[in-house]
Amino acid sequence: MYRKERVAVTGLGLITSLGRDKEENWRKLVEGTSGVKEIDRFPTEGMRTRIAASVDFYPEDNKITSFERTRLILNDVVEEALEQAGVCKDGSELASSASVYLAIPGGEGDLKDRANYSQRALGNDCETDLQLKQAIHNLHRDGRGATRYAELQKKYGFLVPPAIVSTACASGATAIQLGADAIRRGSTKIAIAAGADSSVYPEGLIRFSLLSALSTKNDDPLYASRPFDRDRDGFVMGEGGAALVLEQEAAARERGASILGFVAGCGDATDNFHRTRSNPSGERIKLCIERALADARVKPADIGYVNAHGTSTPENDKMEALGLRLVFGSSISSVPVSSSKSMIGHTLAAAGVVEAAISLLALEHRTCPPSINIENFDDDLGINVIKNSNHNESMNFVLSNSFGFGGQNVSLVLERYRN
Amino acid sequence: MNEDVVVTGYSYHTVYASEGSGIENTDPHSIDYSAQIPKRSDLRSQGLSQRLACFAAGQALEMAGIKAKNEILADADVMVSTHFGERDEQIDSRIFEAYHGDSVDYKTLISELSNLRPSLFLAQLQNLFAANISMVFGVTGMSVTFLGEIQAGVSAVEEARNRIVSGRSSVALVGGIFNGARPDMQSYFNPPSGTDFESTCGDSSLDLGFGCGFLVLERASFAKERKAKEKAILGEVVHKNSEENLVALKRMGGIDYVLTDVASSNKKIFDLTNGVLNENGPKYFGNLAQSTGSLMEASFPFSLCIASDVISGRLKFPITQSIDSPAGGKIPQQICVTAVGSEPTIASCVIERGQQNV
Repeated sequence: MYRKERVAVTGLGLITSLGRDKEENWRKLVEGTSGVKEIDRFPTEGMRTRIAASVDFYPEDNKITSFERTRLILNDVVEEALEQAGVCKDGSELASSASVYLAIPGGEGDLKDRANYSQRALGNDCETDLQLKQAIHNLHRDGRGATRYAELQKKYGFLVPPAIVSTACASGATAIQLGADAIRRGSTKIAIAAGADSSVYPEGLIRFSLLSALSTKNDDPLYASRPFDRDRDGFVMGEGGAALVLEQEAAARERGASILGFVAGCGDATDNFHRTRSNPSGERIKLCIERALADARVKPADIGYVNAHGTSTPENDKMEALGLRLVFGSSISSVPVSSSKSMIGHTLAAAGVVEAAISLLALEHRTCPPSINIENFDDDLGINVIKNSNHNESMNFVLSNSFGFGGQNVSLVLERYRN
Repeated sequence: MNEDVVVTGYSYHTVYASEGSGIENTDPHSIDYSAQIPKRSDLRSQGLSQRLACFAAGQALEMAGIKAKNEILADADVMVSTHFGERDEQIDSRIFEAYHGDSVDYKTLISELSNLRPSLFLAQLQNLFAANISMVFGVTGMSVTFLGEIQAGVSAVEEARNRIVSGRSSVALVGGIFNGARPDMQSYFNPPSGTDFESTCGDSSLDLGFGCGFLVLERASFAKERKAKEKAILGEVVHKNSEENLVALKRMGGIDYVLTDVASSNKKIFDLTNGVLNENGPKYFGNLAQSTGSLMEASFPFSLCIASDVISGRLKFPITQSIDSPAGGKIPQQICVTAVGSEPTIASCVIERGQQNV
């Protein structure tokens, strides 16, 4: 059965297009920096969208596959989080006993490798055909489920292999939800919820283009992602990742770990209205948020800041605002709302963890990061979107939303650590 | 005190079951999918694997007697394990033409990709496996798709069961699907020699299967209240690797029947069963991979379906490789279902005969 106690966060790792660790990211987020730029990883001529908030600080950026970059991000954020939690130093036993939930994209491996394999596998021998050998090596590494976390597994020796969860753009939030539940059930002492996504490659980009989901403001990359603005025209793809180390509050205190904040509550409400559109009544989003609040035993009035899913698509922002209005009523006008995606783009599978991490940093600094690029605010939305970062000493709870294709809705309530 | 979790419905399909195993084969191309997926738009937006998964999910709901019972399905969880989303081979091979060794003709690539129909990409999203089931049958509790080979099937069953045991939900539809018939699958699992394949995963030369298994799990009291017939009791999922769980696994010792789907050498599973489950080894041992081919992400849910079918007297314990000759006609009281993967996954769960077994 569930414990009454809260789930403590004792470690946090964060990578986005803005920076390689949580300090750099936080500094730039508060300043309202955009990580969106023109794509130079591959030629984009003829593409409807040619901009992204890519992570391009790993060596040989234009040579490594998307999955390789995903893995690099994942390994780095998990390391940052475990180091902060002091788990690596205490001896790896605690780390290896962790229940691990990963929000990383699936998929078949790089098109180039698939093409090379398909064209060369018949009649060629990979003892002599090095291109075939390389393709097979890459496909095996990138396309097989069990090799996605092979390096993590090797480094920390997890006794039970990680669960890879896929709920589209809500995957990161689902990873946290399952991790928090495992802690509350007492079935593990420590859980790791981590996500990483690096989907800026031709097929990844065109896939969302064809679904009419992406912004085509190619001439103004810095201003393309504009959640809650009337001129929003789609999301900007982002790359990045984040990891949270979750523990029972008492156990974390007992081992002397410092607590950064809490996962106070999680809620979900699947929407079976349509594969890419949410029920126009907003009822499922409302229920999702209400369930997260109830799970955290808080009322709407306790929420000091909403870190919105805020993708910058016309549909999402409208529906999310409706859901918020349905839950908060007229008091929504006094709750600051912002979307981190205005700066870091949509980090897709990782977004739920990335934005939960930002929410926890907001609580730690008692500062709401801004929503940038609001020049022509869509005031039909009826919510209080903040354009500048906003210090709020009394902020104790943050609501973070994640919604994904396939009717996947997950909301989290994060809580500030008070001495 | 924890309540039992019972299986009230299940459905499984396999394409390559060997003759003599007693398991029937399905031809996924000749199924009338409209029997479970009546809306044409739902059929159009799904590929072969998604249709088969959705079809089996509908059959499992039907057996459990909860299909179209919206008051139950609205809060029922759906947990699905799978490998890839759908691909269109013909379209892919056209796209591949943009690649010549190390060089890429981006103009051709971008124009080929840009002319595709949007729904094709939607079907590539893995989470659509669970989402399709939500859409078609109105199952709108927690919906999660799990990825990652054998462990994915274990995670799906474990999370679904955990949510019931801890009171988060009362009913879950859980299943897995794997399509090893896709030509590209060989590149991931059976590449030619000379690669470093073996060193990274430790299992070589897999016979890949094509199949799925779906089960309806319920809290025993919930099933009883709605007068549902329980087909089997699903025990806790335990992992060999954690010490605490090793004790739990050892308690299973003495179980005569063990079902698994072990893709690599048999020695591994013999060692496991001999060393952990029972000092003398199980009397009857079925390695489904030898009959159906490895079902990877679908493996654990599929094996649990087979075990439920055997426990409820509908199927004879499958003959794949018996240590002793199976007892004629006798229905086992307990079957230990074990999943062994290269992740490394070693997890087990006992399927037991229910009291009101029908």
